[in-house]
Amino acid sequence: MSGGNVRARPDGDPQDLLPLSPVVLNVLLALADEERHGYGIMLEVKERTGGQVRLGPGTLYGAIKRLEEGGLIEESGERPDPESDDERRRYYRLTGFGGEVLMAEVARLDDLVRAARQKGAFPAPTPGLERA
Amino acid sequence: MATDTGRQERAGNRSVRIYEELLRLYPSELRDRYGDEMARCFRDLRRDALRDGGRPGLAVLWPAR
Repeated sequence: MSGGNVRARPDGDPQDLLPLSPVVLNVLLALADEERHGYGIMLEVKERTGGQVRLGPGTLYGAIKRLEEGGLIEESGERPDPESDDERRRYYRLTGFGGEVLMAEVARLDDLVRAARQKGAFPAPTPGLERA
Repeated sequence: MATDTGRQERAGNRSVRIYEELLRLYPSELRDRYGDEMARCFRDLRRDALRDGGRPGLAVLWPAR
């Protein structure tokens, strides 16, 4: 996957992994605020993108495999809600290195948006959604 | 006489069986570690698709490989 080469060592430079592929970025973003199992990641991505991005199991677990091997995510032994969940599900969480890579990618995209804005290649802000 | 619910359930079960067969096409290193999870995700997708759209809802599963 382009930008999907996430097999760097966890002590490597996050910049070496950029740019991330959209799938990898979405998986990391889904795990940024809480641990989730695979289906939870699929739902979070679908809802956050308004249905524009739908990860199938093959795409998702291909990314999870690479991210685990690269030390960006890890399996969590904990069950956030053990009362209501199937204990056979595996939950995943960001590692410290995964968080650094995510932040570096978001900063890169922020720079890109800033450059686009300077060139006038940016839609007019939606009323009520302007940044402070 | 078969009910709509029964037909939907059978169609959904058939989808799961087909998906579990298709899982064999993935590389063994992916299948061995994540195959059960992938099948579980597909069953979750099937359940939600049936709930939201009935049998026609199952059609949305197949682009989601």
